[in-house]
Amino acid sequence: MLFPTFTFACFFLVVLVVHWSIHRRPLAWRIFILAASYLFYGWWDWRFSFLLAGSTIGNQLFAWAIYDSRSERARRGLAIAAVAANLAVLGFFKYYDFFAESVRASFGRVGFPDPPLLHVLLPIGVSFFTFQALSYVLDVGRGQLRPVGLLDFAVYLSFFPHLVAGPIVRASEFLPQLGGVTRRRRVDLTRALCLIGGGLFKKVVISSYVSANIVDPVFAAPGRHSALDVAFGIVGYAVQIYADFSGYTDIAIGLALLLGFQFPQNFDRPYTATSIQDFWRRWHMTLSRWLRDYVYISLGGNRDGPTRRDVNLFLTMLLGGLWHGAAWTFVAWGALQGAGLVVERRVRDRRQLVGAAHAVPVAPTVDRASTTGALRTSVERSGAQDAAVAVADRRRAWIGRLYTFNFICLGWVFFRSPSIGAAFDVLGRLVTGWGQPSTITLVMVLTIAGTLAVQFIPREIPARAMALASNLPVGLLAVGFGLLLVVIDLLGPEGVAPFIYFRF
Amino acid sequence: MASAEQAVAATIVAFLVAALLGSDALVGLARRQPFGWQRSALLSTAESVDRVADFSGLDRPVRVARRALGKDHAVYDVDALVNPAAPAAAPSEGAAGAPTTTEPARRVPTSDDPLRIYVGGDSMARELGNGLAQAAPADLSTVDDDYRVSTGLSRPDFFDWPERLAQVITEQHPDVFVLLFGTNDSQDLQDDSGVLEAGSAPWLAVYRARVAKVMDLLHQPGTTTVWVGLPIMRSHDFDVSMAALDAVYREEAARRPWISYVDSRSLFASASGGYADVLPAAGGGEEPMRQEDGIHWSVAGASRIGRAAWEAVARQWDLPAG
Repeated sequence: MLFPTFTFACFFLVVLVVHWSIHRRPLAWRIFILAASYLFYGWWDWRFSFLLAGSTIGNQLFAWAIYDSRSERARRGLAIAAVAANLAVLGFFKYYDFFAESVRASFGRVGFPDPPLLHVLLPIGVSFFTFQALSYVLDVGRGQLRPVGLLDFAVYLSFFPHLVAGPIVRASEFLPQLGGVTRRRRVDLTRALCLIGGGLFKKVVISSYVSANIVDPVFAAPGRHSALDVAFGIVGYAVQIYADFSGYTDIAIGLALLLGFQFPQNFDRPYTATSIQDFWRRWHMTLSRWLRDYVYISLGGNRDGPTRRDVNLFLTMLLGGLWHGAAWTFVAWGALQGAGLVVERRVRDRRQLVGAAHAVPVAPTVDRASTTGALRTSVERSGAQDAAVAVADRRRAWIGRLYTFNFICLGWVFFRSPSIGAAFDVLGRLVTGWGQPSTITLVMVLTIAGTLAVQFIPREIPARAMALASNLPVGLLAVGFGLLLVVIDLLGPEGVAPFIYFRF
Repeated sequence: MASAEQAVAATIVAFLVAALLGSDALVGLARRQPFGWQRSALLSTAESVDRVADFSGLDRPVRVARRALGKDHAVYDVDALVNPAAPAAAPSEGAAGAPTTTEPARRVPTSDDPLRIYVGGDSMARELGNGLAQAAPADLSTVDDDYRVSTGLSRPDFFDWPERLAQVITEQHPDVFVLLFGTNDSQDLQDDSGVLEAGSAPWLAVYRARVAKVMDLLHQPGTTTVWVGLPIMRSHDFDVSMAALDAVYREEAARRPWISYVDSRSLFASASGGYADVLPAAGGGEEPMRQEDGIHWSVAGASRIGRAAWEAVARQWDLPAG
């Protein structure tokens, strides 16, 4: 079931009513929400449910075994086995045909036998729930979490709002809330409705419009479009994937809020990032944190010097690229992100070294007004100097935003293209397509510019608006949300396009 | 913060408000469901809501807004545009399965007035359109890809293709129609006699009549049509039903000189005539021709079918195929 469909709306209404009717009965509630989540998941293909159930039982067995182990060595061995088992399952479903095809393409010509293409059906959301299961097992292995009962773990892993496309909610974030479900009586209704409404608008209206009217035509046949159209197509894809994915996770977070659960934020105005590192603290934040905590740190992080740190960083981003899909374009995208982060780190390291070498010691001034009599020192600047520093900081930030946005868009070209060659066709057209007429409309320009501009609205404004909305009568909120649904249906396309991230 | 009861009530009220204000969309949604008791129940509920909304006038603002946004396009008289010609004495064929036409070429497209190619159909028409856009010369043609996911000719209540094509004919005046249907058509359909089971003899007769009507609708002065057949499907059962539909397209196209049929089955068959995941690619070597579902074309497959479709168009319009 896709979120923005009538079927899901009916499903969720029933779940919402039953949830709040029986949530004080812990066992009944858990069984109900588990059944509802499996119904949701099995709606695409009932066979997927067996994989989810198998992952649940297998990972719970690993967690219990790790917790009961008497030696650190045994715990570590079991954790490694759990990781290997999970990645083997993920690898089989997601990557077998990719590697078989790559082997066939590379070695078939020299007479190596072709590995069979098994046409393995990719279970929806397998990347997401595998990472969530691993967070549970690894946190138990690190002593940060005690295993819970099988039913609780099953509810966590299958909980439908985050099951198929995130956010990647860690066991340590969800399980404590599970314990408190019987006591919960209040719901952050305003925030939930704003997130669901905003998410639907981004997904159904913005993402669909940009995709159908500029991105798909440009990426399908870049040679037919002017350089300006291709540039808008690339930036349009940046807007499309943001609206699509952040829209989906906003809906997921809002649905969870209506059920009384708090999910972590997954996007924080990513296109305002002033560096590539900053971007990855704002984009798909739950995946970034997962990769940092379970891959980068496990590889050694920055503990063994800058060279090792850079290797670990590159490998982490490469794995992040591969996580997105079984294609060389995702590998290229991940490698590009890794390389960009490494270069950025090196430049920053060098700047810090140069800055330290050229630092001029400033004589401290004594604060004679200090009541303790102790010397208090301060480096004083004039107001004009402060203003100059502020201007320089703002200029640096905008330079950072520009290069970061362009770098990220370059990566999106590989992410979107069906092949490396097709990506270079798109990029090449930026050079060869000048002088051709453009088909860009004012509506498209305003849609793309508007979606980007909204990210620069100061946080206080939406926070204040939400605080004001919280004071409105609940009935008015409900009518307003209903009107918003009608507007979204009016402005959206016919039919529903799937979420980009459903492929992962 | 609100109480749980308030949250539940607010959600229900919100959906009721949306249902009343957008009741006609709700009725349309119900009509598009597969035939069965669920559809009947949903349609009955939706029509009740629609009656209340209509009586109270609550749905009027949305109807006005829909018209203002151009989403309620004028209804075209499809039957008035349908132009059946006398069947050819014998279907003319060149090499086995090669598309032919007995109608003369139309105007000469130029870079100032390029050939306007319209691509329509279900989701497979997306890859067809992409491939055609790459194969057709950019200086002599424009390609408008109007694919609609999950559509076909069985369920005009889901999406009315004859109506859409009538609109395109009247408003856009393309020179060439390139169409592909079928993958969503193997389902029960409804006509005046009631609901007909997919694949049954009465069903096939009604489906054939719908295909014929669309083909006759496309018989417009100065235009040609390329009807792209369905390739072999990986799933045997699915392929059996698709092969039956493909036979209808091939037979009906052969009776109409303004239609060129592209035989996808042979184009995407293995050496032994069966389904093929990989085939020789244009740039050399072998490449996967289909996506993981064994239905839709991959990038290489799109390129292959796009080239075949362009060659058919080029023959119709006496243009260079390479």
